[in-house]
Amino acid sequence: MKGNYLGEFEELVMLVCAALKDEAYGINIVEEIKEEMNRTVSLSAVHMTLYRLEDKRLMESYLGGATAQRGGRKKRIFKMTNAGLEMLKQTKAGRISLWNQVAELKLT
Amino acid sequence: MNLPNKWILDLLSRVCPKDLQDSIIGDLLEQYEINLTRRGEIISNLLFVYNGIKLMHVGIARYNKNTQSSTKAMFFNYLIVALRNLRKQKRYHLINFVGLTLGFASCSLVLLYVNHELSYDQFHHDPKNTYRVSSEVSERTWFPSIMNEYAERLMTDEFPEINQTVKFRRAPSNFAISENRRIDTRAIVTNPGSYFFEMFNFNIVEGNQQNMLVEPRSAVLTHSMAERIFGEGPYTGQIFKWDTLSLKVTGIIEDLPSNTHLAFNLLIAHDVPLVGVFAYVNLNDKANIEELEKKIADIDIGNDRYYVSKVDLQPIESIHFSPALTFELKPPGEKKYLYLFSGIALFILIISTTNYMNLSSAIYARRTKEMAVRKVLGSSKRGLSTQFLLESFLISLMTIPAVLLIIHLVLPAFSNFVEIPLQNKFLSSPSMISSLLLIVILTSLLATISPILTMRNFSALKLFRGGQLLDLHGLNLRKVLLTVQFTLLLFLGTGAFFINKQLQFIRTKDLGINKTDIVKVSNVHVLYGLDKYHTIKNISLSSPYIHGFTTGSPPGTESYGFPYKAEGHEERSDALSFGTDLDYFDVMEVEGLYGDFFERKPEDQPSISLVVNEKFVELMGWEDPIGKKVTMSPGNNGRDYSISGVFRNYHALSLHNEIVPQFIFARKRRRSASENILVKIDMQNIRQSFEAIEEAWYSVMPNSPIECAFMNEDIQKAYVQEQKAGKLSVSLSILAILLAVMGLIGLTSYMSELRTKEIGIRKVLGASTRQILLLLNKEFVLLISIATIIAGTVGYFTIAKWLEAFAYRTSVEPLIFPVAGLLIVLITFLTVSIQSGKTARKNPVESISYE
Repeated sequence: MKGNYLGEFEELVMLVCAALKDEAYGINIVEEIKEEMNRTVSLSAVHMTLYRLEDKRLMESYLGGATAQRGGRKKRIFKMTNAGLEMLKQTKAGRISLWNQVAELKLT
Repeated sequence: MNLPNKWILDLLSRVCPKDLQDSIIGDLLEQYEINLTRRGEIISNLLFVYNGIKLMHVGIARYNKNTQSSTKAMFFNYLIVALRNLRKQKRYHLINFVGLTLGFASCSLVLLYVNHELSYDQFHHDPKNTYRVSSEVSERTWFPSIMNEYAERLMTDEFPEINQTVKFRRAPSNFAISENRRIDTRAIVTNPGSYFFEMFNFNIVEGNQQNMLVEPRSAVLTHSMAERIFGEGPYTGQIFKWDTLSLKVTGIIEDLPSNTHLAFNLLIAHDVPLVGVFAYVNLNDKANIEELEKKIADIDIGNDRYYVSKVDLQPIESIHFSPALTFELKPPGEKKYLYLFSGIALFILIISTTNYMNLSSAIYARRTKEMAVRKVLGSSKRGLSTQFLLESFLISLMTIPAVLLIIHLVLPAFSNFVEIPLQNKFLSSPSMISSLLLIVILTSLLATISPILTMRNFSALKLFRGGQLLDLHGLNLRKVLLTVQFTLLLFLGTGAFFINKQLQFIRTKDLGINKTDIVKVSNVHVLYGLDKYHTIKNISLSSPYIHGFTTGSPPGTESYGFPYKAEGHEERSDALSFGTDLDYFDVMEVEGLYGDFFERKPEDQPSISLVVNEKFVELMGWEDPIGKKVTMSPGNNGRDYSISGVFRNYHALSLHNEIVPQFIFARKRRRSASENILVKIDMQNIRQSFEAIEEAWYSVMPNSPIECAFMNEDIQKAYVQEQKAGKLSVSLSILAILLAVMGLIGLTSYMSELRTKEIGIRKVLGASTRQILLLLNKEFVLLISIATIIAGTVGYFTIAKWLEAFAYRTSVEPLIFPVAGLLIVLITFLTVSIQSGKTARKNPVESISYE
């Protein structure tokens, strides 16, 4: 697909979602990124990225259960689609192949 | 939870799409709680607001996964279903398509015509403030022109409200001569230095507007005229002869557009004696029209023979639809005709729209199941309406290319018919394009309103049962529509019949005068003095193809004569009069009844004799009119004549008028012609006869083009409106009947399909095919009877009213209306029977197991 590649942040969000499984929703993703990568990201950035990914059919969402914690609001849980998984694999493969070439040219 | 900044949530819920609200607001709240555990309350509150505002982002607000994509998907689904339906119901949709196309096409043609008629003289520089000065002379006749003395005064500074005055006169027809070419011109002459092009806006092809009309003897030609005189351009600076002048071409303008009341192909600036001129004034905004009219009429020009009694300032844009004045530049338009055209177009549109409505509601009625399924599956009322509208628009919009094609093909013939070169503006003018679109959209809206209203409010359960739907609502509407359609049809048809009957009557009516083999030469005003008439007459009569030669008013010329005073009566001026020579009665085959005049030999005739018609005698109440005295122009150095003959009445005016009293002065030897030259020719050798006339004319008048035509054509011109109406009504009634039959075919086959089961059961219970056909026809017969009654009454009075315009008319037989109604019943019966015959003949086993 033309111009269809993942941005760095998109890749990060997708990976975090995959890791979080059924708990992959907005604020949880923000917290997870903070914990794992020690990186502070804004909630709105995460939301927009999620919707964009959904638009690209790389992720899909469904409404999860409500908890008292959120003022009784439902969570929107995000899940990777097969296309999303494929895209992640491709990205990873591309990176690895590049890394391998870097290894060959390694300066001693 | 104790929230300090609730407004953020309100705002968010407004900005965010519904689907996202919960998850976004929830996340925000959760984040707030997390923050509360980590930082202070103040910072958390600030972060809450900050993050909340950041969430109001285009990227989020635009999110509409579910709503839009599903609408889009439904839209495509509607489209697909619509196309499938079109394919499945090819025949019915074809009927719809053809009907609508014809309706729209005829409507569009009329739209072009109306648009053209209403656009007259709007392209000038300041049309709103430009007026023509027309005048009433001697309290008798209105002229579109005014005496030059008045125009001269308008051109001075005497009237502050006048910005500019332009005047010109019409020149007698003359040849333009260049090298060996002699070209007939239609010229107007204005004064050198005229502001003609500052007032009238004609596109200049060559020359400079400022100095085109400055020098005397300058000429501005229309492009086609210049081409005919000189061939190739450039034309400016060329010299040609016209009358006795040699003129220099100073400018070329494009040929005049058809939507102007002006008519010329040569504009000359020269000092020539002017009597009556066409005067146009441009007024400033403060001008009071009525006051100015009075002021102009009150100008004292020191000449009370032809004084102007009243002045009318005609707005230039309205001249085209003003009543015709004597000696107009161009015959004005008829509003009546405009209305007639629009009315008939509206009829056709109504007929095709009702067809469309009927047929579509019938088609929809068969799709109740589809609708029911849609409803059950959760389609909203709006969704259903969208679907109906979409389908309807699809069909209507598809007609547009066909409509444009028809316009393209028919426009030349139509232009010819209305005698206006119309252009297809549906490809160029935005207003015309949008009006066509508007008609199309309105029609499709109208056609869907009734099915939408019925179906969308029905429960799915009712829709599943189908059938009944029509009986509840659709059938009533359909009955009304069908009745309207039949009424219009009958009205058009009978109207066409009577118009053409009257035309037939006119054509065959004996006018009491020879009208077949007479050629009329109309521009005899150029033959003044020196026996020119006599010379032409003698030369003509020497040709074997010329059987007679005289002068006088041919029938159809409406000019009333001088005031006269007959012996023992008051002064009056209601008689038609003209002068002629002794041959008039022979050539025109007007029968002389009694009197010396018709008995004397030519050589014994006095130099002038007065002959009158029977009507004149009847009006005067004379027993023996011979020798009675008539004074012409009494009081004003009047002359006395005594009557020396009476001739049989003939129709001197068109058949719109009663026979009028008439007197004719016959002179023994005329030096000049009076009104027209009338020549009796050899009908076996028409071409040679015309050549003989022309030869005689040009031997005397080499520089004036002859204007001659068959007199009968001229007589028929008086009925031009009626002839057009006649032709139009016939062709349109045929179109209307065609449309109606098409609609009926579609409708009945649908209806009988709908009633398949019913018919099957009836057959099982013992009904014969004939009985079933009768049953199916019954409804239509009733509707047509109602339509006949309505159309009959309205039609009878309308036609009687129309015929009142004729003093001599054919009769209106009321019987025609029921006959026409019967004819329609017959057509309908045939259509219905052929269409539903199949269903009626079907084996009931099949019918009942149908579906």
